[in-house]
Amino acid sequence: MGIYIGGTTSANHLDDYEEGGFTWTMDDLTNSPTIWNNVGRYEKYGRLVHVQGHIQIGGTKPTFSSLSGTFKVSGLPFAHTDGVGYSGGLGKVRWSQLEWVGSSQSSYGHNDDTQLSCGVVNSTKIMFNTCGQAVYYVGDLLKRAVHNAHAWNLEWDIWYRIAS
Amino acid sequence: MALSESIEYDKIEIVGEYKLVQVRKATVIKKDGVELSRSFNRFVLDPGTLDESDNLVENPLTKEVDGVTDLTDEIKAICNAVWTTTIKNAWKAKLISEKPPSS
Repeated sequence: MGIYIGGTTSANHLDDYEEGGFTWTMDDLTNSPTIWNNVGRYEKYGRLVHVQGHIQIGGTKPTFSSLSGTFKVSGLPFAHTDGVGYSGGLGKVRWSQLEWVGSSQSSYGHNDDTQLSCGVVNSTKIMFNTCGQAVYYVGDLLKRAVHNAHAWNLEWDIWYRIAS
Repeated sequence: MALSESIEYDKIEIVGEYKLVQVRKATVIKKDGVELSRSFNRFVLDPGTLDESDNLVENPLTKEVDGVTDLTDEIKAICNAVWTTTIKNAWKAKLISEKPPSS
């Protein structure tokens, strides 16, 4: 089944399209936070998957047992198997009300125009990378940035490749 | 005229060298027994996560990734069948290899 585009080899074969939804969960939570928005949507075009995600926190903030580890969210609809570089796919992120604290900006950003991007790790999870205007570090967004402080908001959009 | 809604786990796939279990959950709407619509939700199960000491905390296989819905016995059985000790050790090694360097 499927169609061949621009040739008749397996590299030209588009055999699947699917769209649907899924639910995100934050790794290593120690409580049940209020989540105003938890949206996951996907479209699958052959081996390429497009995902949009949105988590917005409400009254009860999330808490984590350890604040030093990388903040990850689970729930990707397909297992990532075939990327390049250190992140399996890279995507854009919009954020608000994250907690940029501490004197060192290494690993978890800074309050001076920090930009976030996202990538796929451990085959099924999203993590976020920081890069600040006045900071020359690129680091991972740590759990301390989302721990028990603000009603934060994260939205992201990413494409990644899967096995079939 | 009778409308009904049901859930079907209509695709359960074993993916890649770490035998991740990829599940498609269909919500099916029928009218008088005839299917009107089918929409999909998905999740992927892996053998576990690392704790702070890099020990593998095995997936307890109690809930779907949403943390709310109970896993079906069929999905649990598939996970238990494919996640051998060899697979779990390989998965643990992969997770350790993907840890960011400490700064």
